[in-house]
Amino acid sequence: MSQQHYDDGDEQMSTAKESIDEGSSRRFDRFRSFLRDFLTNRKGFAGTLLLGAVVFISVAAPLIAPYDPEAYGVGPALAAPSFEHLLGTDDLGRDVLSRFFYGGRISLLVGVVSGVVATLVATLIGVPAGYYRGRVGRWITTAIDMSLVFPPFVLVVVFAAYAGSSVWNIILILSLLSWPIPARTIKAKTLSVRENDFVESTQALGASDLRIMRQEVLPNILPVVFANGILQMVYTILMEAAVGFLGLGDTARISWGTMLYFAQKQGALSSGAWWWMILPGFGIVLAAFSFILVGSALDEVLNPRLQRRTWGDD
Amino acid sequence: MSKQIQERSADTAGALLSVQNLSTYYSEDETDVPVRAVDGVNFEIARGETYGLVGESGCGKSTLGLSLIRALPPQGDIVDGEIRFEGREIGQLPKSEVKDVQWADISMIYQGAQNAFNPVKTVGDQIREPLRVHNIVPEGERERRVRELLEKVNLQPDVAEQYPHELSGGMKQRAAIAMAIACEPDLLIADEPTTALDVIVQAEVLNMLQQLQDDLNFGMLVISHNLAAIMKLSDRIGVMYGGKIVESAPAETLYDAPEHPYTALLLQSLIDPRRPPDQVETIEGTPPDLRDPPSGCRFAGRCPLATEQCRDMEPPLEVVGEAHEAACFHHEEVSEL
Repeated sequence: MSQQHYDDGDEQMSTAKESIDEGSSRRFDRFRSFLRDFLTNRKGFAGTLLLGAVVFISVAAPLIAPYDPEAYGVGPALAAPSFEHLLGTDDLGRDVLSRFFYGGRISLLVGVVSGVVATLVATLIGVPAGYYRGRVGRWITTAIDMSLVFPPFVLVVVFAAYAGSSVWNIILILSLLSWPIPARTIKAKTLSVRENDFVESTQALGASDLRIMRQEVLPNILPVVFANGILQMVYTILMEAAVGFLGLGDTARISWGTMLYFAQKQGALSSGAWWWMILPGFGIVLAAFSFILVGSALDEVLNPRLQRRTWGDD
Repeated sequence: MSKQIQERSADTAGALLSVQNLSTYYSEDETDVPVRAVDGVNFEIARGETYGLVGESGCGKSTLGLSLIRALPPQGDIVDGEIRFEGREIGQLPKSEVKDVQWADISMIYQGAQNAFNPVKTVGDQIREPLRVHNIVPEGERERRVRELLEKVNLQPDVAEQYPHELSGGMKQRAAIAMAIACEPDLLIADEPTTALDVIVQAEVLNMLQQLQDDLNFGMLVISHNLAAIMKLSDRIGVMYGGKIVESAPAETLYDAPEHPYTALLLQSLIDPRRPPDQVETIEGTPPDLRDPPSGCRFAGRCPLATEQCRDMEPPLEVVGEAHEAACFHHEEVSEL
């Protein structure tokens, strides 16, 4: 019987280790090969780099910001970029670059937390919606469709006005409102996975529905879940920026959206203070774009059928 | 397994599996006209015996197999009849009460083993699944058991760590067999075990099934449209047409002296390499609509022997010879076809 060998130094090395702890070493190997595939993927590499930059400026903001972002009058009002203030100052003489660094924190926080929560909810609801046929599936699908009719943006605005626009309120409302679309995508993918013989054969095995959804369906839709999760983060980052831009965000905290709001409100454009508007806009685009790159690379690498090709090339 | 042998006729009590008047219909909802995929089927399988079920696509043979293991799709329902497995009725019980039988006692090799494996899990992981679900082998020994099973079907034990796409079609089919015998079932259902395999691998797989049966002494139900493969493997053969068994006989008898015109035509349609393609016999017409089957014999529309009687009345399955039954009013004329 012909048996496949991968001529790969790493794999050989791990074969020796395997006698010690077979299971975990194999898992580690798989993770390493995933990491290698991901970083050799052009989009994955670029995405990781950009996302790394966004995360870095947000996390390291206190260390790298040249000025206190909240301090008024660290420079003249509306000063153009100079060596003192690399990206100028706003109408109150605050350093724009420092505010830009800090602003990334809210964008990332809102994006990641509500993206993850929305995707979890979407998976918990979408998988059973696709898996169960007949009445149960129809009921869940109807529930998803009904949730789809709520216009998230309007509700965010109303909720922010009613319950206050703290960051956590915005995260809550974005999480609660943005799951139906990914839930539908996940449902559709589950529908196609469900039709596979291996699902039928696991049913014939006497396994419970819960077990089949977890063990057979979920691993197969995981790439879709990840891709959706990333898109969800992009969506929530943009939503947060939009809410901030409308002045409905948490104005007590710096975010790229609220920076744009103040710039627009104080007439940055008419007074020619382009630096004040461009930087936060650039941050929003950068964050969204890096997430999209990472998501797209994950999709390519996690799909086991596409993976085979890279293995064959080794 | 407790053998509660009911008070039944002697031959039935001895059977591993006895199916009486089984009917399985498909319908979307209550208002839908059901598709009578299996309609009043009787047969028995003894321990160590191989029963072949042959018929063209859509005749209900796969549905019959899925009924036995109680893995019908949700639209399918056993509407009548009984399935007795080692004397225990398993056809009418709710699915939740037969989970202990599924795979542990009756297992199945799925049609198209190519798709019977989850692409994102290792082969070993999947063969281990029935052991896990039925908790048959203690957890620490499952790894070893999987390797044993793979060896039994002539695969390298290392295959356990590979993913399905790394295996050839024949290897996958053998892995599917390993999974089917994981819990040492008493009855193995093989749905199209050789379809989509090349002829050499087909022979290999058939030999392997034969050999495993000799070793493990399970009863086997082989479902196929490939008459040649069925002939090789089976002790008895049932020919299915339009949801009914129209003829059943020992394999040799069926081959030498079919008593139902459908069987006879099916045998004539076997491809003989020496015959030019234009002389290969085909059966004219299409199978009946199982939502609204004809009132008489279901084959009447395509049968060269059909008469008025055939269209009006349904011929019962009658004994026509030793261990040989056929459902045809004109079975005596079949040899002239």
